Amino acid sequence: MSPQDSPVEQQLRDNYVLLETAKAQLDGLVKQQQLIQMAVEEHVRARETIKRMAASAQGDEILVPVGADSYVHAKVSDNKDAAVGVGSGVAIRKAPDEAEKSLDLKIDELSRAFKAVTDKAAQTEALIGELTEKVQTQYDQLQSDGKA
Amino acid sequence: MMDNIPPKVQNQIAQFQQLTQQIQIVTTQKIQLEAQVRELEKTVEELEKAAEDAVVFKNAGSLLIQVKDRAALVTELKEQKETTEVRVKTLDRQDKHLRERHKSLQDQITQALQGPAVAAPKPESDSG
Repeated sequence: MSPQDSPVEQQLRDNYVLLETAKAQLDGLVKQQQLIQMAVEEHVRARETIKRMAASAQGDEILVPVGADSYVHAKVSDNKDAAVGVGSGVAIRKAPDEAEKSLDLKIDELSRAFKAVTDKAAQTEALIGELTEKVQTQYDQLQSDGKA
Repeated sequence: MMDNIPPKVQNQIAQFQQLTQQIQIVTTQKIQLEAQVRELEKTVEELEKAAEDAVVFKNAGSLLIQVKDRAALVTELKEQKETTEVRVKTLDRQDKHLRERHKSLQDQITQALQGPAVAAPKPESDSG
């Protein structure tokens, strides 16, 4: 901000700010990727559970998770329908094949979102590479001018 | 480094930092509420798409309770969406106002720091 700054110093400062912003953006994108990946895995697990439950026979003994890696005994009923969430704390009862289809659609949606975030992360990584090179060059130039 | 900066400008810098934080908070709230609006829209869409005799449940803690009056649920969700949209608009106005103040403070600070008082220290303090 000092008026005595040379254009190279000003550019170095601007590029450094851009570099830090891009790094923070990349961190955010990586976190988003992880969250989406976890959601995909959760949906795949739910789909597989519904599929297996549909194939089970009435009266089959199963263990139902109650959290903290703990399970309670239960028996498969004749009703194989599932309640699938549609957001905002609302769920709709669906036949197993319908439930699978709706989960598949959600998995597709999530996969598209994952791809979009991955593409954006790749672009940001490229930008970071470019900016790092620029900052290094400008820093070296200032050092050779005896200013850094 | 702050010793060279007049108290008035120091105060402006503190205000500027506070405003930056406020903008971040408002932006985060806005993003969350906008996501909530989209989710509510999607839920209403799914409920309207579902068959007449579809059985609908609503979360009550970790339990799902069957909803007897689906139309009432749709109305409730639509109202919730409207309320959330109003909150988004309020945050939008707040965000705009904060950004204007942020920009104006930034200009004032830049101008003050580039001015002669800071750039060139007084001769007596310089000579030591």
